[in-house]
Amino acid sequence: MIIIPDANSIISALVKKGKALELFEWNDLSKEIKFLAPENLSIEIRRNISLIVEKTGLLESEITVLLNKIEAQIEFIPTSKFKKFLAEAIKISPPNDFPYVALARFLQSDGKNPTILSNDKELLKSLSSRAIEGISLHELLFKLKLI
Amino acid sequence: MAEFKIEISDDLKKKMSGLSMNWDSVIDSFIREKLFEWERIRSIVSRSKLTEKDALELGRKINEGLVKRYKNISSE
Repeated sequence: MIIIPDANSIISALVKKGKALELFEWNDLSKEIKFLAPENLSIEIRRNISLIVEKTGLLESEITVLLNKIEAQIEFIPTSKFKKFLAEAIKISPPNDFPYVALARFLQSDGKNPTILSNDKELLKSLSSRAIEGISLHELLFKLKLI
Repeated sequence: MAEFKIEISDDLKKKMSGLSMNWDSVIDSFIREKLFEWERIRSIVSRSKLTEKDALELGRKINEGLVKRYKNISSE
């Protein structure tokens, strides 16, 4: 199963008693999901680390440990691979989500069947009409029989 | 000691056969290490004050930055 986690799905793993962390823990052991993401996502998450520190109340060193553990499971795809799908994605996806859609389109063109993981209802709704699969964390955990 | 059976691929079994190793001990260490790592991670997250709402807002902020980067790349 190929999953493209959006920024929220990754950040949700830092919520106390949240389910996203369980997903990453389960997958670290089972390796059933292949997580793929646009390469700049990691850079953008790190750029917002002071805000993450502020909101979580955790130390920066602890956030780094958490992010390293989660990101170790994600393969960050170089922009050069899906650059040609950016223009189309800009046209068909919600304005703030097109990098994920561009990556999904690239993977589809390569014969793969990716699913975008997001808790953003707006994005999930828009994907259903664009022949790209989207799934919420709750739905994914249910599908994997983890809840 | 408890007994725990696992199934492995023929390919892996072949590779393991070439090494003189106490595999019980290797697997025991591997599982312990994994569980310890995640115990540590869960212990850190248990002190987090982040809410699902915060995570959604942070996610959107990160997405904004991501979009800026890719818009620039797209127009190159």
